[in-house]
Amino acid sequence: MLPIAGKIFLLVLIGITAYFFTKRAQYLISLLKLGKPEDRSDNPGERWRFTLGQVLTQTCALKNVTRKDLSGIGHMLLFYGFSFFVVSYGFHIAEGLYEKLNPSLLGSLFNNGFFFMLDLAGLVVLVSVIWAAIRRYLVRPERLEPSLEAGVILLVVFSLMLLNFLVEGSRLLAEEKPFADWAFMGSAFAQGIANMGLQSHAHTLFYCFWYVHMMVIFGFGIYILYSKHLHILAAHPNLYFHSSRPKGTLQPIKDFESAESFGVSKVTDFSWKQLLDLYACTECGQCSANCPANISGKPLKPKDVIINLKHNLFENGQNLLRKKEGEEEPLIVGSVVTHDEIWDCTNCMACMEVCPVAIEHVDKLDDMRRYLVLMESNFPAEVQTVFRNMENNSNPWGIGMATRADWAKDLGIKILSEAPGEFDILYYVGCAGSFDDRYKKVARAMVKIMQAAGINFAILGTDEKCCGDSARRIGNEYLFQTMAQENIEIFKNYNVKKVLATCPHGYNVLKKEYPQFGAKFEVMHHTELILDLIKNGRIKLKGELAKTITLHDSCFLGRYNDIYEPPRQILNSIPQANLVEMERIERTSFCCGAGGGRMWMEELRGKKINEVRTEEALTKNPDLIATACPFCLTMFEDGLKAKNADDKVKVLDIAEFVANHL
Amino acid sequence: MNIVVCVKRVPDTETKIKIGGEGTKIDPAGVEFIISPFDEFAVEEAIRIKEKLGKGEITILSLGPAEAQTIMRKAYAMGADKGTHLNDATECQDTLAEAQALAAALKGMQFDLLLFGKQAVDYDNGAVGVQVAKLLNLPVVTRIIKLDVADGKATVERESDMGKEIVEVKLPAAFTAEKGLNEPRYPKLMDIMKAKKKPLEEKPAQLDAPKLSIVKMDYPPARPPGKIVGEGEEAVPALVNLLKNEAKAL
Amino acid sequence: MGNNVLIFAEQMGGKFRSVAYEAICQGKKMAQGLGGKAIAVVIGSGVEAVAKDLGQYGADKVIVVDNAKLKDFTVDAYGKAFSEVVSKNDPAVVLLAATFQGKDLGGYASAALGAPLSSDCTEWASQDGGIQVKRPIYAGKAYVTVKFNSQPAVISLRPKVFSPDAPDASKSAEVEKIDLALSDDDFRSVVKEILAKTAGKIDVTEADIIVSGGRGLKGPEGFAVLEELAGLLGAAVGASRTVVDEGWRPHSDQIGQTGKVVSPKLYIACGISGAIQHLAGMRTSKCIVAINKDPEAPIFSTADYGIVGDLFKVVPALTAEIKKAIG
Repeated sequence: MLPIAGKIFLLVLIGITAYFFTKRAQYLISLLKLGKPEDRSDNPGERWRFTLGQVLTQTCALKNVTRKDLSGIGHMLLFYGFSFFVVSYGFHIAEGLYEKLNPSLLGSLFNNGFFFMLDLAGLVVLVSVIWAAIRRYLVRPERLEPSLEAGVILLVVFSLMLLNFLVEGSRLLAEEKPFADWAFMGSAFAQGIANMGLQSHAHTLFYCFWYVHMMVIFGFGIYILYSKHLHILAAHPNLYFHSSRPKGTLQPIKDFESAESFGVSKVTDFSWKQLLDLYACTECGQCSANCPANISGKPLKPKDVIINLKHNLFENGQNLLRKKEGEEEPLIVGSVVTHDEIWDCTNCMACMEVCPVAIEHVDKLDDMRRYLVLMESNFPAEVQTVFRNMENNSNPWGIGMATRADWAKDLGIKILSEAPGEFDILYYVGCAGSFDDRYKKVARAMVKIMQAAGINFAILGTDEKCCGDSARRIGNEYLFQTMAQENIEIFKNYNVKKVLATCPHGYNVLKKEYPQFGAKFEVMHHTELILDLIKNGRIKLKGELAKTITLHDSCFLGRYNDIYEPPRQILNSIPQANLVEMERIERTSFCCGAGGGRMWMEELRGKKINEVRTEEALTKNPDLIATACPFCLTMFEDGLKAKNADDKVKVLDIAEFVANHL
Repeated sequence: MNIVVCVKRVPDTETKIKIGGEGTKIDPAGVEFIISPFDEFAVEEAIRIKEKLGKGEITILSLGPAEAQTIMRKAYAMGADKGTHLNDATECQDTLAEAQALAAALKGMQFDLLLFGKQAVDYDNGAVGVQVAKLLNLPVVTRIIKLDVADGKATVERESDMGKEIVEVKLPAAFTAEKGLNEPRYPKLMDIMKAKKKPLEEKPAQLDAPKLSIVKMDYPPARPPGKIVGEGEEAVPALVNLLKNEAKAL
Repeated sequence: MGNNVLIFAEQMGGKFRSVAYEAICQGKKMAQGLGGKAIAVVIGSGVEAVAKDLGQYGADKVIVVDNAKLKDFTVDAYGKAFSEVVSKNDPAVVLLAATFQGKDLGGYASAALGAPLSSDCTEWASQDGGIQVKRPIYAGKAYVTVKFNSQPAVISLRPKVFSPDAPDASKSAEVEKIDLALSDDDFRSVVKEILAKTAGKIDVTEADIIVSGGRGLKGPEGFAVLEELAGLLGAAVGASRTVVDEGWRPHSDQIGQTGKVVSPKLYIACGISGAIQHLAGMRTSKCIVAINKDPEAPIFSTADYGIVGDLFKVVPALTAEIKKAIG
């Protein structure tokens, strides 16, 4: 098919491409090696299943498809189409080097099928690229940058499809091919070329287009490693090396005594996986589009954090590789990622939930918080009081710890600090239930439910200590571990096997993060327990709740622990309950704004997140807003006050709903 | 610039005080102990002065039981360099005896500044700082809210009945710290780790027999539960009466 | 073994402060119990003339140290004068008021005389030939009764606890003037300047009384009634986070978990619901008053006293009533 000169040209092209590709790949890998070691080699079976599952079914993209945003479907089409093209390039090159190595080698059925699929794929990709370009440059959704780089990629992919058709068309014109009918696009292009009176030049055109096609594809191959399109190579390893820790857990700092530094302040403080995240990012902007900080007008935009870290890595890469021992490495905290961005995060994980390539945004920000808190003692001033209160009185408000069990007086509850005894379930009340007058009502409601169900439970009383979740999420890992270890010791002393928590933060940290320090007990959230009691008939709901309710999915219950159904089923078990759902629910639920320790910080930038969410809830005209978290409860009550709607709309915890209808 | 700061280990201010068995001491069970908050202002100020001058040494002195060393390490984590623990487990309430024991230890030390908190939040006498200064024949200025040191002199600002006073005194001198002097820092973790290794000398406190003794400890009359005095303007005279005579808040 | 009571009579600007009278009345009673004399000590500049009036409150004798250099109080100079006078007068008890000056002076005298000290006492009694006192500890969460094992004892009394008896104009005291040699060494600390209390905004963290407002004020103009009450009481005006967010009050006035934490003697919360975020900032106030039109408002469970009503009616009534009460 190709003259010798052509074959030589092709080999040279392959050689040059291989050379530059390899060099660049080595460079990129060497940058990854700047990161700290991290073991992500466990469970290879699960990792393969996950990766192939996400990629082959395109769940990575399809999971974000909504009525308003169908682009995930476009990606799926592009992916399947272009993947097929990549296979076809194998054949093109093979055929270029040795004519017989073409699809007809595998029979005419295969050949016809192949070219039909190829043309179909090409058409689909062509249309998808046009769709993508229209979205990015005309519709201009906020999450997509109409950048030069994106334009180049779209243009190149578009031209590759065109070139392929031109190659086919001119070839079909120049030679008779049995698959002509199947290569419907090729045939159409052949007709077109003929119509332009260029039939006689078909052969020349074929060679021209063929070489250009190859140059573009090889050029693109190199360009991939120099652009955001790197994601097509980095996404797969990034998915493979996803975090196998329980969802949303942070890594403990293992050694406080001899470590030289804590947290992340420079590029080399990141692990190689955290750096790989930067390569995998395709700048789709789904993270920013779902980030409550960004949506409320704050500086934090998760995509920008990742991109800025990526650009910084590339800009300073050479310097970092050449850096000698003892030379200062520039800080990224406060420069590449600003303090505002670091503190704006509510740890809601909306970004990570929607990220197609499993980038871990929250970990990076929390690691930087650890640096700021532990190394610089540099954190919002109001947080210092919270740390001291946790240290001295084991609750963020600093209320005397001797009064922790006062809420439970005269309720006939087993209080272990007063009289140790036998029990099935330990009700871990938490700081809100113990000290916040509003949430004490929820604790009492929970007690009423458990007593009605005849559950043999106990509370720790004054031996109960703050779970430390806020300390960890703000970055004070040292304080957190001190608190965690104290709690684990106390639980052991009382032989605690099963724990009930009403607060999702307490629930999450006890269940998934305390095991990092040797905890061995089962933890349930109260919505799980209550649903269980209803299903087993141990409590019966009566009366009528002829009211409109909208339910807010707490981040630490929903995204962190996949508990979406129980609160809904519970509400629907109450006679005449009219549950109307907001648009942003379940895995795309919009944070109340209090997570990540932000409950304890002033919100000085942008609109208040809790007000944004409250406004959303109010669009459903509810009589009641249902929550299952003390933080969310507080945020909604404040939000309703701010909107002057607190007379018309009330907020209740799921436990209160149930206790009111026992 | 050598600075000595005296600190005391006291129960956290939120502690529910329970009087112990014999009725003359508090029951330490379940009590969280901290560095007396006014002493903490003194420690913080010492560190700021050292940071500003770029040189100096800060010594912590504490009279108390063995556990006082934990508190001293907290001061170390903030930035103090070394310290001496005068071991005494008697929970002495005789400020003069305490002052004499502190002065005896301070006699052997060289310093330009001697800092105290204005009062320890356990026994609230507010006397030890002045007593120690007199025993060492040092000038003392109490309740400072600002401290500037230069050329062997200190210029301080303090609250007085007539407003704010600016006082000047030649060093060496003693000062007691009042709230508002500064905001104590939250120690960095590295400093908390380093604090474990800083030198801490222990010696028995040279305490004379106390010249006063505790007859007994009592609880104050129970705070009456909150009450709604009434509705609307009609309730105002009753409220004012209560504020004046019952609460003595006016 | 002495049996006299030496009392520091605190003066300001040549006039005795009411605490001086409080101390002298108690000192007289103590001296009677001990079988000795109540001797007042006056230190200052230009104070000789009023010294004898202390006899009307029970002083048997008044010793005056009048020197131009002693116009401003410093611990060194006053301490020296006081201790010298005391040591020469057979003291069983050295009595002062627990004011700024009294506390400093008491400490100095205690060290100078080797005398044990009990400060801020709220009760005293003659017992076993001596004086026992009762005083608050742990910020008043407990009280301790103290007896002294040696003489003299230095005692300072909490101001405003012991009201002075009405002065008896028929009584007067013998006045003895002492000339003390005072050198520069006695004035090692020098008062360079006194910045008078600025009329104007009091900072919430420094105020003894705070009048605070929340959403119930309905707008920045609503705060006028609070400002009036605050002005009368010499109080600071605080704000909940909501009204600061709305822009009605400055951030420096914000009291709460993320604002300022205060512990004044009196906290009057007007139109504040009392959610925990606010409580966290003022919960330890000695006395809390709540005024709110919602009887279910959580603030009422923390307040010592509450009035359910329209704050725009109640607060002005309160201002008027307090004006009458304190004159």
